[in-house]
Amino acid sequence: MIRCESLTKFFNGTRALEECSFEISGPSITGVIGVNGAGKTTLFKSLAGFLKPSGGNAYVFDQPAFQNIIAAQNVILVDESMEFYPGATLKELIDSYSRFYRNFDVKLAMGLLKYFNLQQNAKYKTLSKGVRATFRLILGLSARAPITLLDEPADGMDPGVRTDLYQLILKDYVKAPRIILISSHYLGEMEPILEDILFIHEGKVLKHDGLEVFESLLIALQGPPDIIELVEKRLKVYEGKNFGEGLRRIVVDKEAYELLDLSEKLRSRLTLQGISPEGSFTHLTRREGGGINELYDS
Amino acid sequence: MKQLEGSEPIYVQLAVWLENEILAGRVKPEEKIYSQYRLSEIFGINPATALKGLNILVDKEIVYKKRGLGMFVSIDALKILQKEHKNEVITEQIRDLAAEAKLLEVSEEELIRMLKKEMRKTEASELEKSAPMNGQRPVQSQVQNKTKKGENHQ
Repeated sequence: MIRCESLTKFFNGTRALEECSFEISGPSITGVIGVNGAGKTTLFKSLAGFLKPSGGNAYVFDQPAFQNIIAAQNVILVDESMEFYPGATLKELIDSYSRFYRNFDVKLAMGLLKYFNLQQNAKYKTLSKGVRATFRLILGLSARAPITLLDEPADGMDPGVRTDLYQLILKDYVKAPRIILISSHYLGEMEPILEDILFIHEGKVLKHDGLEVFESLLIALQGPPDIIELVEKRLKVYEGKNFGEGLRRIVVDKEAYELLDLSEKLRSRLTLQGISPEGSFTHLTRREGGGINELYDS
Repeated sequence: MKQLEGSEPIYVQLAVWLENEILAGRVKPEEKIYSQYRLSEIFGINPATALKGLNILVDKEIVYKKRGLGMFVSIDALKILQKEHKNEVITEQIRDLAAEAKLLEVSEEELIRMLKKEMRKTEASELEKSAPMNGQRPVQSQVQNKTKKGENHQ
């Protein structure tokens, strides 16, 4: 299990994580989402024990993760910065990882090499960007570490391969349930395989909940402008658009709308449409004030 | 891998798919329904999401759990589903009708009168159906004739 308690990390005075707290106590696939610079990579590196917290702490099996052997043995971090011995072949890298991670499944690793058409005597440094990412994921999954952290595992891959990779992660998870965290810019394509979402924003956990909660976070309301304006006056509006004279569409918090004091008669004149987790995520992380149009119109 | 469709949450789409499987008779009452792991495989979704979909059916008593054996379609599943679909379809059509009436400035009384008239017509044709020798052709068969004509054209 993993736990962060007020985890804070500064790099030369710049905040990467600030008072970040959450806990994952049982097997699940959790999607870690957030815009660039939200703190996803710093979070992963802290859990893997590579970074010394500036404040608070990250725990793996109740042990502070930083430079801790328990953490090192139980966590694998798959990201672009993984370093390998330059002259080593893929087979040699698999062998060396299998000596360190005691649950490592060599047979699975070799099977996956074959499936993805990778030569076992090829050298890592000669591979293309996308193929390198594939190999790192093969290592990361075959390690079968109780805590598997995948930072942008599908980055640099073709769209068809990406879907394939997410399905591979799911299959491996079903075979060997464990804590898997995956970060990605593209929530949409990994959504089907997720159980939970950890939403990081400006170094903090904005929301940590089941996928289904994110699937009904925001809604779009559409209807006559006079009724829409009644709602608009009382709720935070994430987006508002007019469609001709008689139709306006706004995006609001679903729960807040349900709790709003508004008669059934007026409600019945509005049409509701769910916003996908990806859409909600975009609305919630958009910069305050106007957006790009305001910049050009002024 | 099968693809679920729609803008609803995945587990809701899955519940709808399962209900349609039962309505279509592909899984029958007292038979075992797909397990969460089977569904995870069919749709490439997280098993926890699949379980949430199945639990919608458990809550509606369309499916019940047998300890250690999995989930089974309940004996009343079809009755429950038909009732639910009936309510949904009729409510939806009435909503459209009310909106249309408003647009055409048909008063509430007038609409109710029209509705009653239609109900009586339907009742009459039901009677004719049970005694088809008696005069006019039942509504049902006219519809069938139309489809047949359409097919001949193709």
